[in-house]
Amino acid sequence: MEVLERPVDDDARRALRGHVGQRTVLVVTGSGGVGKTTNAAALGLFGARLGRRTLVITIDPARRLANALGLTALSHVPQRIDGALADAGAPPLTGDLFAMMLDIKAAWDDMLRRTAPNEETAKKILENRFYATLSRDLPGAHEFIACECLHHLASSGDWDLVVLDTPPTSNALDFLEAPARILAVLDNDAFRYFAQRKQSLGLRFLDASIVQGAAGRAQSVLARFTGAEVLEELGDFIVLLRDLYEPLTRRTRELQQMLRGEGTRFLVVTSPAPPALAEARLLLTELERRGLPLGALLVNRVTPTAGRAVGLLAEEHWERHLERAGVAPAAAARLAAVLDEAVRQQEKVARVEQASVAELLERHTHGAPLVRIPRLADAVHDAKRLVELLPWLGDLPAA
Amino acid sequence: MSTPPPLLSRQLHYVCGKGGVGKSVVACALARALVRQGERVLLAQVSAPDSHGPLLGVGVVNAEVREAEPGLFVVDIDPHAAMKEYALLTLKFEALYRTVFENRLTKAFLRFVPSMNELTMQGKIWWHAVEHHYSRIVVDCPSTGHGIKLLRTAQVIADAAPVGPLAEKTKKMAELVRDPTRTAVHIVTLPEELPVNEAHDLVAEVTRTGVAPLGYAVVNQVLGPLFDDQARAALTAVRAHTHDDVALAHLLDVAERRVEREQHERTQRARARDLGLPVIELPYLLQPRLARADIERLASVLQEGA
Repeated sequence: MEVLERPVDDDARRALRGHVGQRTVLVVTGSGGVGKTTNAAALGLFGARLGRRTLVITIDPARRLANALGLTALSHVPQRIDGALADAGAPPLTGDLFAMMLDIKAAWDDMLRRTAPNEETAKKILENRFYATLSRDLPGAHEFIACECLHHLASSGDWDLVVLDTPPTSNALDFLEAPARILAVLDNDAFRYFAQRKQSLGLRFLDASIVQGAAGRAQSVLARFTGAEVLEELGDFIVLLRDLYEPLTRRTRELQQMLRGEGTRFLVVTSPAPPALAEARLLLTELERRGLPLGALLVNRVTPTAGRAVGLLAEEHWERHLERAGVAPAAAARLAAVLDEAVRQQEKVARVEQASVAELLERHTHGAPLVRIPRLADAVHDAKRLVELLPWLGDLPAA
Repeated sequence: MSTPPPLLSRQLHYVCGKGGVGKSVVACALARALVRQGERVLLAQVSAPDSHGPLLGVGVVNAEVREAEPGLFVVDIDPHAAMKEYALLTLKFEALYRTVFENRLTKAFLRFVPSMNELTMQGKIWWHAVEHHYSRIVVDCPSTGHGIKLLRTAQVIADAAPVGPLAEKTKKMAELVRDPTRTAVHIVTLPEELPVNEAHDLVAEVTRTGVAPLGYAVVNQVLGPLFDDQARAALTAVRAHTHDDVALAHLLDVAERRVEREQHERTQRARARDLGLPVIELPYLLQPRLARADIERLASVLQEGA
């Protein structure tokens, strides 16, 4: 049984190092509370250590990534963070490390400017009041723009490696399907009807004298209720969106190709606790079902076996070690009994964890590497912790 | 207002919680505790991989109700089997059932009718509760979200379709599930931060929707304290004098890890008590796989705690 006293350069860590050194996109997934963000940040640091120009993106509005990097906040603009890490004692980098937090509104605005057929259309959409609602409140809007942003950044040529820290949702992979869902809304019959009507006839949307029949009456009643301008604007908005449908469909297809391609690997982070393992099992199943490539399973916060302490307890009269350290004989005997039990139980916990992880591995990872990281002493949420993580992820000093 | 009867004397027990907290283990232990009290118990898992069979050592549990041992009946409620049964009851003929229900389009349609699966499962539970002479039914619910969905189904359908033959049945189902003299929803959790958060969310949702009366909070896998104040003080004292005794330093690492974990566990157990439900704590048995003997041990703890 691996003792996990110090990291060794095994096959799994070598494989992970290969992904960090060669892939373009690493998507870090996992349930909440397993150390996903910390590991995403450490992998970014590792990438920069391997000489790559690396960007770590988080979608999570909680400041976990900023905290993990020892910063107070992150913005939508990629921010160089080499300095902050060096101050915290990070080993020298040969590449560059940047981080950003996706600002949903800014990302939507960027995307529109990139995608709209011309500046005028982009401006009109940005000023339309329905645009604000759609980009903020439509279910899946956040996930949609996160995917879009990942695709844009990864294919921009500005970065060697992009590490994405996915939000801790119950179904983290759902966000990959958001683009298709949003496009389905745009492709909806009602949208098409209004869009075609307005475009082909060149009519004012609410020209009641020309739009006859029930639809026309319904519109004019609605107009009295909401104000004609509101409906007019909605009509405009729908027409404007139609211009985006083609480019967005193409880009969604490209994104799907990118996620399934050789440049991308998914990393599943879990802890050995049964609820986290249950979620990891679902994630692994989903990855497989969607044909998305698994790079490695990272099991964080593994209870190490008691290692050398077991050897000590096997010695006859080992409690003398306590006496030599200044404990009175009576107290030493009492403390020895407690310590003995603590070691015995830790060994058992380590075995239980190992058995549950082995079961997950056997059934669901199909030979993908398993990287185990021990529960490190105190969970410091700052840059020092990242540095401590590095050797466990395969960043070992040259022998 | 009369006080509801003691929890274990209620007829219908739903065991809910996040995936991996040990719902199946608790459901099995609860069923065994009830059998020991002389009850005639149906233990139902809901369309799950068979976990009850191995835990109880009673062979395979499937859609056929089976008396696994005196007083303990086991079943796996499969929504498709339940729907077929219900449809056959209504349609009377197997051939007609096939024409309608094995049809590809109907199948696709039924899959997308919201709550159809939950309704047939809940209906089956209700049918067992009303038509049969089980004095207790223990339902091992699917993970959090679904567990609540299952509880709410009858009410949702009853509200949506207030008349007709289906409405009559679902209304009675909803009444049974809501009845504090007959039903209890037990929340299973672990002494860890996120599972306790989830338990709080679950309690809040059940309370807010008023869908069913709450029962026990069961804190599973409690390690318990080894180190008292004296032992902790001794540890600190020894730490100052380990110097170059490497093995002893390593032993102290183990001890400090343990003390930290005990502290964390104490905090989370306190938070579990804040759920506002009577709490039962089950010991961490430190085994990779639990078996019948472990279930019996936990059943005893449940009996004492109740």
